[in-house]
Amino acid sequence: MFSRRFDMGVKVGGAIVGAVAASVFLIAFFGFRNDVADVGYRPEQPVPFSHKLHAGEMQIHCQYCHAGAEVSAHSPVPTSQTCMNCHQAVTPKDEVQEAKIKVLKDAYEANRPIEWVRIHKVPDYAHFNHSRHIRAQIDCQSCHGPIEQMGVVSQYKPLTMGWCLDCHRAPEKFIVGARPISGIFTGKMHDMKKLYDSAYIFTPIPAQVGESLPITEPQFGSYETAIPPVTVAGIPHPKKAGMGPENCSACHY
Amino acid sequence: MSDRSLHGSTNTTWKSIDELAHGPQETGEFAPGTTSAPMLDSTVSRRGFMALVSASMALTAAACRRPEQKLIPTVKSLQNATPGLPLYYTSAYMHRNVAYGAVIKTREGRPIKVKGNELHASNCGTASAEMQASLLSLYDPDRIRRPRHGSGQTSYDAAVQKIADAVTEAQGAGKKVAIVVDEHCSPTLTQLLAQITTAMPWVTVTTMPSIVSDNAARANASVLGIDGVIVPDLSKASVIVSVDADFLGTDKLALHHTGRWAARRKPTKDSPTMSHVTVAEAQYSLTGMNADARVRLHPSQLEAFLGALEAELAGAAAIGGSLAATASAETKSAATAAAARLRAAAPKNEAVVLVGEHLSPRAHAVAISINAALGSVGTGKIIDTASVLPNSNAKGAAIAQLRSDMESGAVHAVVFCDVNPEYAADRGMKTAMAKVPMIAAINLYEDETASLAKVSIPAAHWLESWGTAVAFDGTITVQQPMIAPLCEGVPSTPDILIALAKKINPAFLGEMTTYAEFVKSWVETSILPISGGATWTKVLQDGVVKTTSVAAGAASMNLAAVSSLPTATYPTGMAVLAAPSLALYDGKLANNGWLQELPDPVTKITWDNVALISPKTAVQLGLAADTTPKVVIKANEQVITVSTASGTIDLPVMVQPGMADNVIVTQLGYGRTSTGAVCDGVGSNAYALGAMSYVAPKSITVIDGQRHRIATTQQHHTLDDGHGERPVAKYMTLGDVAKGDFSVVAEHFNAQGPDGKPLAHGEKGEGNFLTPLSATADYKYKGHRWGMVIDMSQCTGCSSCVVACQSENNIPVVGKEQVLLGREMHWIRLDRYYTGDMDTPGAVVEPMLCQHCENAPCENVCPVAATTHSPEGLNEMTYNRCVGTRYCLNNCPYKVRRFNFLNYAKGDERKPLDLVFNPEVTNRFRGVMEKCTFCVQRLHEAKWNARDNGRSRVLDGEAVTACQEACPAGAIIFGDMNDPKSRVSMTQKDDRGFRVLSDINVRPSVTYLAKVVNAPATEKAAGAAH
Repeated sequence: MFSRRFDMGVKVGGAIVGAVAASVFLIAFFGFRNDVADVGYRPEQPVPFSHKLHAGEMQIHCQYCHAGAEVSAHSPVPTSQTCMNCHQAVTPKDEVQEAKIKVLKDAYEANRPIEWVRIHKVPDYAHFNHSRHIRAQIDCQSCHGPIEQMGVVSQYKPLTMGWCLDCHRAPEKFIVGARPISGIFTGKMHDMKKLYDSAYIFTPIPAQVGESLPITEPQFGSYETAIPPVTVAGIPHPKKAGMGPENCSACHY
Repeated sequence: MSDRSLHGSTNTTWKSIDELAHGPQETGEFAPGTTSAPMLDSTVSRRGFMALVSASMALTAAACRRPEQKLIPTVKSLQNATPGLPLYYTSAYMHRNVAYGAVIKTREGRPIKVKGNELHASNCGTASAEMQASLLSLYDPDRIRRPRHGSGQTSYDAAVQKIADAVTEAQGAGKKVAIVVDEHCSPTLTQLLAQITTAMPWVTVTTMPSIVSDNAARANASVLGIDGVIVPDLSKASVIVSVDADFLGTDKLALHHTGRWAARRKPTKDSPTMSHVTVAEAQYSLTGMNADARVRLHPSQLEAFLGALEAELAGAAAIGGSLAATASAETKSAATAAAARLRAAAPKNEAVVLVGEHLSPRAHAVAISINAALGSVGTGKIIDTASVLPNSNAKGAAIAQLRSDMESGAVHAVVFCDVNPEYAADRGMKTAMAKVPMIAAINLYEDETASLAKVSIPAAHWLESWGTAVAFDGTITVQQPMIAPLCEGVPSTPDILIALAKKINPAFLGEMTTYAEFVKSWVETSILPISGGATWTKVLQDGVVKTTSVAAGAASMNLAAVSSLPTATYPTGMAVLAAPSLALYDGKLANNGWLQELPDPVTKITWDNVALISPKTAVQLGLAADTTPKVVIKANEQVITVSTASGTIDLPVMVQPGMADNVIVTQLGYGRTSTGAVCDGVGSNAYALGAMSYVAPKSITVIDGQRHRIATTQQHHTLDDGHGERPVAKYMTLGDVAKGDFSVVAEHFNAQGPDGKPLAHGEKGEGNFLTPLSATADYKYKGHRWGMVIDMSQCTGCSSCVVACQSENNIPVVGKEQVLLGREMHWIRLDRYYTGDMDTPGAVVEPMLCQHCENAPCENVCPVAATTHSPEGLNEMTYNRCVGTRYCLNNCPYKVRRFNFLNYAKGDERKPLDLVFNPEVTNRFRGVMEKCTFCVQRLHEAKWNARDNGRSRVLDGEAVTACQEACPAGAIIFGDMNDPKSRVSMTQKDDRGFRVLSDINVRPSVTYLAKVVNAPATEKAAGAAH
């Protein structure tokens, strides 16, 4: 009924329309659907807690509140009791502050947990372990950004698999070395005088990246011999921070 | 096809009668169920699917915001608990009256794994299938949540008050109140019950196990003056003769015995010695499967065999003359052979005779006489009269007393604590129970007995309650609660009894209000002073405390008392035995998916109990025309009605090789009616036939035309053994080992030496392949290289590893329908191969799991690289990359890959069942392939631990897989093959070592050690290769 040419036109036209629709769909689906790589995600929290005030101005170490990150896969959100350690003694400066702290105090007295909104999340089916990274002397800032400058915390890095692998392959390019404010022991004591210079707190030192070897490469003679453990302030720490593993089952299991 | 005749080549195995009949699965390349279209659990048509797709596209634009997730910390900080880190606590598991030490792994306050306590001598760090599976019952959604009175819910306090009122009424009316408890080994519970009966003399306590077997206790009471069961120490025995005793299988002490038995089953070329086990039995038990010599006897000949044995060994001092009188000529000759072996081991006091608990008291007395004649009875010997199982005294008289009291109306109220007589007891007991005005039940489930009760109170699970347990060697273990009762405010059974006693007599126990205080004060006053300086904290930390007091007195033997002991009359024709099930034991944990789906190690049947019969019996019952394999399998799945004097049930038939003729064996624990969604309606209640004794059936009728599908896994996941040309499960004899003839394990195809020339047959060389092709020839495993060794000589098939893996790796339960399709999900399975002929088969158990091949065939065919090789030799499976093509499954020569045809994990999402999951392991969704990972999450943990201790390597023994940890026989060794001194590297070089299907050059990381049967060397036809 129709000419060959017309028929061909319909077919080609249909294919183009289909391809455009598919790409629009794919771009919309993966471009806008940010389950993970939602840099800048900045939800409102139930308590208007300021990291800028606590970590930045008061220089409270990260691991004072997020205690356990150096031993566990999780970096725990502090309990209300941790907040109250200070806030039952600290008096608020003004009424604005008092109103903010009242939210916390009321919840604590009512024995009601505070429901923080989660910001950082690695993709599903991946196991991320905080303690391994902290013990490799990687500063919190490497992934979480300059938290101590954030009044309201937002996501700073995409936390995608590609982003993880970038670091596992070339850590020296991306890693911020451990700083005292993070509460991570670097194996090298910092100059105590400089410690009180707040500018120093924000100055990263270069990461100490170990030789690029598999995690289990023998480093000291026969591997039946146990190397005496080195612990500083109760935290066992490695001689060298090795490269991150790249095989699938390092994270997916 | 090669000749598969039954007496064919020396290393021929067969998996089932079906295989004998039809050859190995003639189903083509793919197993059924693996290629059929996934059965979707929704009925969306193609058109509907398109509509859904377009709708979801439209919604996509709106759904570009990620869902908000909450992080909710606790209000108060917790002591010792860091989110994300496991905490381990010790506890005690009571398998009825046998105490096992347990270590419980908890995460964020919830128990997620039960394993054995290495300090406890009964199980030495290992755990049985039931012990591990009891964890699932903790989170069972079918547990009772609220106390019930009549048909309405009530408060816990009101429910206890109702029972207390009945107890007071009984006192007023001068009637009795009975508290009925299950067999236990808790010294504090014994003491508490004693205090209750002292404070309230009209209250009686009766111990009523589901399976009552007093025979051993009665014999010991008369002959040795010990009213209890003596626990033999099999590690001291080099010759064991078992007369219908299933000491490796259904025995309560099987977990204890397996390790000690296996210690003597490791022959090497340098020391070719191992124990010899003779099993005389009517059924084909797990012990029989592992026997070196098996005597198939009709039940009527069992005690005759024992009598004949005694006549041979004790001579003039024999007391079992009446038993020996009925022995047939074959029985006598079998007894002579067994006696010769026993006699040979007697000078070293290493011979022992064990008797099944269901044989008569007189048979047990005769066994004592034989063991005494063999010099095996006495302090420090195999039968040490100090090793008495706690609370194993004869209970029949007390139970009969309770029944007659109930019948006569003397009992006003009964409190059933964790017992289920309505399900397990005989008809007489049920009739008597109906006459009791007030029945109360304290139980995990609203089971058959609890449904009858006026007042039903939920009890706490063992992981939720305090307690104590004492082992036969006097080791005390404290049971600690791991979690607050999931049903809020539900106390443990002893707590309820204390509350009950306090309602009647407020002064009861004085200030004490809880069982926890009672336990602590008992340990502090009675145990710590004799423990050599232990403290309460130390007791909880270690989980065990040895006491210095030795209570055992030297027993005096009085063999003359045997004449007062009853004998049993066995049916001479057809006999029926209802034996405990290997998975469910007596059925207490029947509502447990892990146990229901655990294939029976012998029959490989899941989700059912059946009537096991021999081929000849099948013919005799008219189920098959003759006993040839092709014909006799037609008897399978037919249904028969079995009637005995005590009851009638319908059972599907399964023809079991190795059974004695004229015997029907079925399993207890099935056929529940009102307990939970998992177990109700599964199988039939074999207690109706009379538990644990050979009874004569009144009638056996075949129900015409009725068939019952039996979900057996024995034909699933069959390895292609080249029609018998390349044996998969290899076995040899002790004679071969002594001679140094390890030709059986040699590579099937000519191996190639380092010089490139083919090796002579039987010679072992470096390069094992004529064509040493490798997918990654240049790759060097620089760090760890994980590997495993499985010793088939030690593996009994007990199935602990299967449940351990299921618990560790969140393996879903799929249900009977899916098992019938071959879709069970176990990552480790126990392939049971028969050897020999259908009447007297031997068996080889080959645990089969992912072999982590170096040239893995699955990796090459995955189109999306979801399965890859790790630098440590693991075959990794990345679930989120898998698109479900199932190419890998079809290309796996070992058939160890499992596909989620449906969203099986969903079934476990019923709250609170989801709490049982191990958070370290991903739950797999529909359409995803999965398989053994060598417990990669544990390997990570071990590596982290090594790094934290300044080591670059994991030391040998630090990385332990779940199956290895649970194995009571120590048959599984795991470690680093790159470490020349690791156990796995050393044992790999064992002469018995071989790799399954090595000739296909996939280079597996798992080495098997061939099973050794204690028998003379195999005779080989000259020039025969295999």
